[in-house]
Amino acid sequence: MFEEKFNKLTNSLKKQFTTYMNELMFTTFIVRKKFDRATGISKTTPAYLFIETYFDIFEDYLSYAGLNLNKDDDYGVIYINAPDGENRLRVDGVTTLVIYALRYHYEDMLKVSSSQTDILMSSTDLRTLIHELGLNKVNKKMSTISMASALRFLASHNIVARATKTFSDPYYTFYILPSIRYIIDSQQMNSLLSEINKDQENNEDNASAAMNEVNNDII
Amino acid sequence: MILFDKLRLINWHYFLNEVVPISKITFLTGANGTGKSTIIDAMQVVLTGDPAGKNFNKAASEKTGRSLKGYLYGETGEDAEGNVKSLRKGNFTSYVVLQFVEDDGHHFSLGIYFDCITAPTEQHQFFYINDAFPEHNFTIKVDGKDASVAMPGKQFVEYCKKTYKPEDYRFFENNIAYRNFILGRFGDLSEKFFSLFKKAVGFTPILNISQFITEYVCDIETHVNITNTQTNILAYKKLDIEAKKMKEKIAKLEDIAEAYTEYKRIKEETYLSQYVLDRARYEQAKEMLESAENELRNTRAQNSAASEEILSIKENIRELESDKNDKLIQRLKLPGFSESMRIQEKKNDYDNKIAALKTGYDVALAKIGEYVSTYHNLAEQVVQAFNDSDLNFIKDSLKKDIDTYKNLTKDLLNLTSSMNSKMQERIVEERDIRRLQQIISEFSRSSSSLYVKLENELFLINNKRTDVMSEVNMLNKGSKPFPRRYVELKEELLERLQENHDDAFVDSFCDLIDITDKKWTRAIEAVLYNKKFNFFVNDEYYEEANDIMKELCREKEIYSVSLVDVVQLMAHPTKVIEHSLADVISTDDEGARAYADYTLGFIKRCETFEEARRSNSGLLADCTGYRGYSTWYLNQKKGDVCFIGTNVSSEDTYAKKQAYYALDKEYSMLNRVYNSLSFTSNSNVQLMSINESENYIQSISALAEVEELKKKIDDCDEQMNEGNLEDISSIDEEIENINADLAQYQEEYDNLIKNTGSFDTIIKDLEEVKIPELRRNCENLLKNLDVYSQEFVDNSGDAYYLSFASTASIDSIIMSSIKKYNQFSSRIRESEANLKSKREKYVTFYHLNYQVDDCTTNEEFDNELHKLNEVELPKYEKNIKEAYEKAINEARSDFLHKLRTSITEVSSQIEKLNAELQNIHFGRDNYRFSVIPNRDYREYYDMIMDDLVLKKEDPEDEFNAKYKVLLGELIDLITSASNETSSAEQRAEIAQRIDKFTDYRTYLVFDLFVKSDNSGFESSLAKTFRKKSGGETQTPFYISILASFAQLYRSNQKSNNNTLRLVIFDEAFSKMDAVRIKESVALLRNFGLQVILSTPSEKVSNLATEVDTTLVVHHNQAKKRSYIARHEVIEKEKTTL
Repeated sequence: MFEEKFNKLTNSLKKQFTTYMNELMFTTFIVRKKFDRATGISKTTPAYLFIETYFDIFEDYLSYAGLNLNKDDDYGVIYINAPDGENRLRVDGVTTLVIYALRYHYEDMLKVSSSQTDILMSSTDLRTLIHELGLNKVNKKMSTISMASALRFLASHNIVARATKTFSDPYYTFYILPSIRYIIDSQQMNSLLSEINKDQENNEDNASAAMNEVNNDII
Repeated sequence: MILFDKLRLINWHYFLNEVVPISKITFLTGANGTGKSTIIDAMQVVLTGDPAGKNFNKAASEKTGRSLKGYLYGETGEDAEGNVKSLRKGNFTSYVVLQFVEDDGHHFSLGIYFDCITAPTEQHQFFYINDAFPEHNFTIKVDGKDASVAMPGKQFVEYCKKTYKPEDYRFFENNIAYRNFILGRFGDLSEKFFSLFKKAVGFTPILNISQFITEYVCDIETHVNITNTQTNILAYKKLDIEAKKMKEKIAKLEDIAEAYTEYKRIKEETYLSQYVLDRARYEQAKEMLESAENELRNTRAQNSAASEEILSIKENIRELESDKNDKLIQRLKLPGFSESMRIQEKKNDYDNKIAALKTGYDVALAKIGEYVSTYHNLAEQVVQAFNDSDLNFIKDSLKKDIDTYKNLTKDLLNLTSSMNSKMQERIVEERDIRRLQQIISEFSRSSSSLYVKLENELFLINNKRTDVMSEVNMLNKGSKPFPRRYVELKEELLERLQENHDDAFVDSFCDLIDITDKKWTRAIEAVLYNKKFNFFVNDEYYEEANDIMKELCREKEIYSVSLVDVVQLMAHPTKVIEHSLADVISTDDEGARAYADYTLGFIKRCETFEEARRSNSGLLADCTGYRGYSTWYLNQKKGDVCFIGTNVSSEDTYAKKQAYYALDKEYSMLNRVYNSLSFTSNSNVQLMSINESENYIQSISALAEVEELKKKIDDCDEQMNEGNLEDISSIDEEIENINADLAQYQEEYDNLIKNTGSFDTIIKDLEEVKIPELRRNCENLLKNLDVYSQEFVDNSGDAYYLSFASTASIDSIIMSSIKKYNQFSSRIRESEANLKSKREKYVTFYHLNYQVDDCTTNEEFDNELHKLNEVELPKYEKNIKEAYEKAINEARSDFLHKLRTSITEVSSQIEKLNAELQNIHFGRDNYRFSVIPNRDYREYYDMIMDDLVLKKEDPEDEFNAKYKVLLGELIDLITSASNETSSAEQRAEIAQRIDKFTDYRTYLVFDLFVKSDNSGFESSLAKTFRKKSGGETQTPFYISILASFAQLYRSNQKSNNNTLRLVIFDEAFSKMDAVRIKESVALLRNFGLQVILSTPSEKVSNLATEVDTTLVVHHNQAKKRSYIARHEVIEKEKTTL
């Protein structure tokens, strides 16, 4: 199936296929629109365009590896997931909590403006939210530096996109991309919430250990 | 209703002369290659008015090999030489004619004849006869023969003219006229008839609904032509790129202008400080001249005062002299005066002689005493110095000299000691003096020679001592004697890395490793040479460190130090040979280990040259060896200073210190002796010459005459006492008093004369030498100031100088100006070089012939900058704005408008089709097409479908306000920034995007829904495609095509429905099973369409019973001829034409 379709592509399309397949495998998530810092506007990403056009070829290729290629037309997210769930990436406690906070904020903002697919957030907003949610008490390692490092990791997987300044700066802004919805599903969100609540009640120091148990969909 | 009734084929490939009856549902079958498609192609020529045959045998393959020429001449293949083999040659005529019948039984025929008179061209003409086929069936009898041939075209035309009324026949001047005619004749069909008909013939069901709809159902160009839009956008982008280039150029020019301003500023500063310097020098000279002139004036005044005093003293002296003369005359007049004078004179004479002799003796003795004590002291010093110093380390030749010298000194000491005592007793003898003279000169000569020798020795030792001392100093500080620049480089690299990363470190290779076998220290130091200074940094900051190092190396001009890439090094481990130099390196650092292995792992430690030669890469501890088939000599000096080691070794430090102490001791002892001999270079220590010694001898021996003279004085005294000389004494006393006064005056006079003498000298010196010289100097310096223009002096120079002069002395102004001038002159060189290099780069880059080296002006560059900034750039920016607006407007009115039209059109066509499909059921199923916006491109869809696109005038610029960003993005996606710079892949990607975004289907999602009557549930065919079999999924597509035809032919309309109903499917129902085929044929009947189906013979059993007529095509290979026969009655042979 794959070979037949792939061989019909021109050489330059084959090269593009390789490039974008690599990008997809590396980032797991590809979003339709991403903030472009050079022009200051959200732009359609070439990867999304290409994968969308040749979706079936990508799908066939990944199916050999037992991976599913999914597409959310409404929010504009293409992502890989492994139905058997073996090859998932475990992220550290701080990143897990940052993901939690970002998803929380994303859903919150979506209630206000449902037409948007990406949500702008500032470092101050994030810090405030983390304090409001009490996440800084759950994991003692939560700091400006560890948060920045978590965001850098998420940016490399197209979960967030840096808007102004760098994550090392004291003040920066970034977009939460719709892929946040697929890095952690609602069920995981709920279990995470109950873990967090439990930890806050017990106020245990080893809370972060519990956080590590939450898997994310990054492969 | 118009039905296709009969087909006439003459000279059409294998078919020579056929009349084929056609029913409502006709099934055309036969084995492969018998000519089914040949018949269908013939029908197509007449039905579509297209003799060029673009659509021939569409069902067989996309690229058909069949051509009109092939059909006419009956081409059967090629022989071995590549010549085409044909069935027909010479002049002949071919006919394809279709007869139709209308509801009222009226016939009409449509056809085409081809006159093949001169190969390869043919002449054809479409014709229409408002009647059935003529009686001759388009043939004429050949004279004298039973057979008949096709009627030549001209003859047929003549025939029609004779037979039919003019309104009942028509020959068409061209294909277009024919096509227009048949559309009308077939019941006012739309243009779509041709395309739909052609596509239906070659129809093969496909899985892509979108493709199916656009190709078979809707008749719309899929891609919008955006050439205009693209041209405009490219024009805008080109302008934009040009503007960017221009801005780059402007930035460069501004850079040059800035460099020039800086250069000019420094130059002005230099000029100012030079002026201040020249001015200060002049002022200083002026001041000196003035003070000299003052001095002259003062001295002259003093001189004249002294001269007046001299005159008055002279008068006094003159008066006293005359008094004295009076007294002398008085005394001369006294008796006994002359005798007394004579004795007195004699006595005085003796006294003088005695005094002279005594003085001579005393002087000689004192002089000799001086020599004795001087040399005695010197000798004592020398002896003491030698005694204090242990000079065993001195080389033998010098030692001998020292011993000789020591003996001489002892002799001198003995002599001076004995002379001292003799002198006290005043019994110095002649030989003592001679001996003294002799030994002094010898001592002095020896001292000088030894002094020089010791000086040399001392210099050598001191050099050695200084070297050792500097090493000791470094070791004492606990650091290795790294060059200062290297330490600075390392510190700066670390500092800059740590600005970004707190955990950054920078280590030197030599600090990380130790040499376990000290024997190899020198060899390893020499082999590693510069490599031991290489840096190790954190792996993750390696590239960043590289960027910093690049800058630092250029800045500090150190090119021998590198950054070791530990990651790469560890990734490619080096194989270390046995007994390699790397073995004697120990380190805890993995990176350093790997680097040591890499740099030293291939060099073998060898004891002999033989061994080194055998190994081909061996080194001996003495820094020689063999490598790469040649001998190998390392500079031992490279290993003189030990850098390698994690710590500075205390042994090294101790040993070095000891060496230093020993050298220092030697130096100080030698220095002690050397200093004791320093008198040789002292001019105060004099030598006694032989003449001098003879004089002393004479003076001493003359003392014997004194006693005799004393006796003579006693005699004189006796003679004096014999006469009375009292009066004379009183006058003498007066004269004495006058003399005393005179002496006083004389003294004053002498002093004054002396003073006036010195005044004269001073005046002369000032007048003749100093003042003229100072004046000349002053004039020269004033001349120097002439180079500064008056304007400069008035405007800035003077004020600048005065600002200094008010606070500082001239000397300090000169000092600071010199310093400043020096600073500025080095900076001016730098800034000049900087300016020139910037200009050079600019001129080279833009191929200009501007003056680069002339730093007095920047006119050419400034002019260009001004031109670009004030004229060109604004012009470009204006053009860019216009071009952008034009591009956006064009995109809106052309590109978006076209897309919108296509989308609206497809939606409306699908709507009509759905209306048609609503009434058609296949089994229990009912079909419906859907078209909805593609959610991925929803925002573009919304923009395209926004009514603002339609607005011709948009004074409010509403569209731009709403969609500027979005349209900009879309435009970006379909235009490449610059064709010159983009790569082939980029261009391909752009081409692919153009293809995508100019296709209206991108913005839409098509689907076909199947609704079952029973459940009322609609299922999407797009989603079920993969699950269902080919046959199952074919049905909806056939139905859709039929629906399209039904719509085209208005078959369901109650009135205005006298239209053609013909549909031809070549290779139909290929994947369907018998049941489905039966259902499908039943459906065809329901549609009220006339259908010709062509399939290979295996479907005969399924179809034969369902259709009205089954036509079988046979091929006689031997006769190279094909025949068509009805299924029931197969005629054996047909008469040959």
